[in-house]
Amino acid sequence: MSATLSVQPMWDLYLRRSFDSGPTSNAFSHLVRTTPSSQAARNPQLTSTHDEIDRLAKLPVGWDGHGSARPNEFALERGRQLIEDAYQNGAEIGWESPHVSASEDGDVVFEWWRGIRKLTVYVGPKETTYLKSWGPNIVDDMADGVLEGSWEAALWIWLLA
Amino acid sequence: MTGAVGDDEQVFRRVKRQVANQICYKVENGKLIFSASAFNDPQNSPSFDRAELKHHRDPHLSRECVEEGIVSLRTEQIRKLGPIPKMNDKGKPIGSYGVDVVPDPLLGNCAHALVVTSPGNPSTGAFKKLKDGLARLASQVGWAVEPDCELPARHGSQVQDTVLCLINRARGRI
Repeated sequence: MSATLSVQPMWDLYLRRSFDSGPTSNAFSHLVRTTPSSQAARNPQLTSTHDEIDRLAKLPVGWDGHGSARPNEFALERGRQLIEDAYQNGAEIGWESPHVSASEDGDVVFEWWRGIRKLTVYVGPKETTYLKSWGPNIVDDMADGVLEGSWEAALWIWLLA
Repeated sequence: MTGAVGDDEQVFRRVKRQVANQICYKVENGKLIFSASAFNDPQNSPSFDRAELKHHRDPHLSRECVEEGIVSLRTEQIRKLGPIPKMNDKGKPIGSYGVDVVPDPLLGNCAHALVVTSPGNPSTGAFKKLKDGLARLASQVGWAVEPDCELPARHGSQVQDTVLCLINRARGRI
């Protein structure tokens, strides 16, 4: 029995222990996203946008006097990351700071206008959607979708085209 | 059609420069641009006041504080924002939502009306498009009353409102 234990590889011991005392969570704790400490790195060019997101974070439940949800903390965090990614993608062809607001559902909303074109991005806790519009007619002048990654360069190219 | 809001009616939307700490509009190169957030509504049915049911169609009567401005939209324009495509989970069209303006008289504000979809409870995506459309219409027409301008004295407006409410109920308009 003791011989068996003596040849037991280190990784086996490690895995076994992880079920009992949970060393795995300690070993990989640097990979776990925890909301307060996972803020996106802040590009100095985006200070005003981050400040606006920070202001949204301070809104209470029912902030509009009509019962709107307070901005979701994961949406805020994803919004910070999205704006960093959008800037990295768009800075070379021209960057404009977005209008930042909160939706009634607690999403973070970024809006950009360029002539008749408007790009609105709704960042929720799990999903990010976009709405492109170039007129008030909802069928003919608007297109929407879900962002598959954290940002799509094609949106910015469309806005600036 | 008792109680219907006529296509030719103007409806007033109150818009503050700032709700809590977020801005609802901006002026860019001299052009007023409304954010979709100016039409946020947790019930997905933004509220308006019917101009005809306000004394002398005075937009000031819809203001509750100095910080509020008034945007005046034509009901027909709002209805023409629809139909809004209704999609299933896979993004395939399964019908559409109509857009309507319906009376919603409140105690003390018999002119109150709502922009609603038919059927109700629009999907989040449909309501986002509706807000975008409303913001575009508002940006096209601009202010009927700018925010921060003097709020006229409204002595007896509650009494006026009650009287107007009774008259318009008798006429079948609400």
